[in-house]
Amino acid sequence: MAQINFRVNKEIKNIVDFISKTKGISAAEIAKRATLKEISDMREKIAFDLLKKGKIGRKKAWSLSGLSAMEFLKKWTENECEEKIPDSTVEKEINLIDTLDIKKYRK
Amino acid sequence: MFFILDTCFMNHCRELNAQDVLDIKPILAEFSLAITQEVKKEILHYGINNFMGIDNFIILPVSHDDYHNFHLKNEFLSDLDKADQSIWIAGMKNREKNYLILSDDGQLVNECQLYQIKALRLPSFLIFLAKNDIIEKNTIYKCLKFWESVGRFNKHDLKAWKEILNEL
Repeated sequence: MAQINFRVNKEIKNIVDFISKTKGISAAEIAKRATLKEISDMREKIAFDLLKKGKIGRKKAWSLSGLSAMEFLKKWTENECEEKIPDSTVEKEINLIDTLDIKKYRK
Repeated sequence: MFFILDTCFMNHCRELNAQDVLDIKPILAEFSLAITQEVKKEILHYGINNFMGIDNFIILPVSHDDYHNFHLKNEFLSDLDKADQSIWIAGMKNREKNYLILSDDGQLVNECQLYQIKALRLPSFLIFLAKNDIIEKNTIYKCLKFWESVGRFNKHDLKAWKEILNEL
C-alpha cells in the first residue's frame, strides 16, 4: 500500500468533516472514495488518448485504462485505436519465421 | 525450448475462441509454454486462466535485481508496464536458448527486435504454424478478416500478413 497526502482549504475541510460526521465515515475514506471515482472516469480516456498519440503501447494502455480483458478490446474497437509501431516490425517478424525450427519448441 | 506468452497474446487467443474464429488451445498444448510471475498475476487478475489453464506453464524467474540492473542499462523499459518488462528481461536472459516470445504488444515486439530477442505477434505465429502444416491457411484468413473488422491490428500489418499468406 502507498499513501497520498494533499492539502485543502479550511472551508473544504469543514465540509468534509461535516459529511464525515453525518455519514459516519472518516474524512480520509471520503477523500479516498472521491479520488478513486475521479480516477476511474479519467484513466480510460487518458489511456486511449495516449495510445492514439503513440505515447504508450497497447499493454500499458490496457493497464492504465483499468478495464477488464474483454471490455478493453471492445473499447479498442469503438475508439478505432491503432498501435504506433514501425512498419518494419511485421517484415522483421516474417523474416524471423524462416529462421525458426518448430520441432525445438515441442514438448 | 519454450514459447514465452504475454497477456495481450493470450487475451487475443481468448477473443478468437469467444468469437468462434479459432480455438488455439489444443495447438498450444503441444508446445512448452512459459510465462513470468508478473504475467501470471495479470492472467489471474483478468481471469484469462478460465480460458486456458496455466498450471503446466513454466514460470521464468525475474528478480528485483534483474529489474534494477536492466533498468540501469535500458531506459526505454520504463515505457513498458511491469509484466512487459519482465517478458523482455526473460527474453534477454534466455537469448542463447531456444525460446520465442509470443506477444501482441507491438511496442514490446519492436523493443525485442531492436535487441535481437525473438518475438512474434499472434498473426505471425499463425503463419509460422501454417508453414509447418499445423494450421490451415483458410483459418488464418478467417482470423485476419475478423481482426480487420475489429481493427485489432494496423492495416499495414494486416496487408503484409495477407500477402505472405497468399505466397504460402
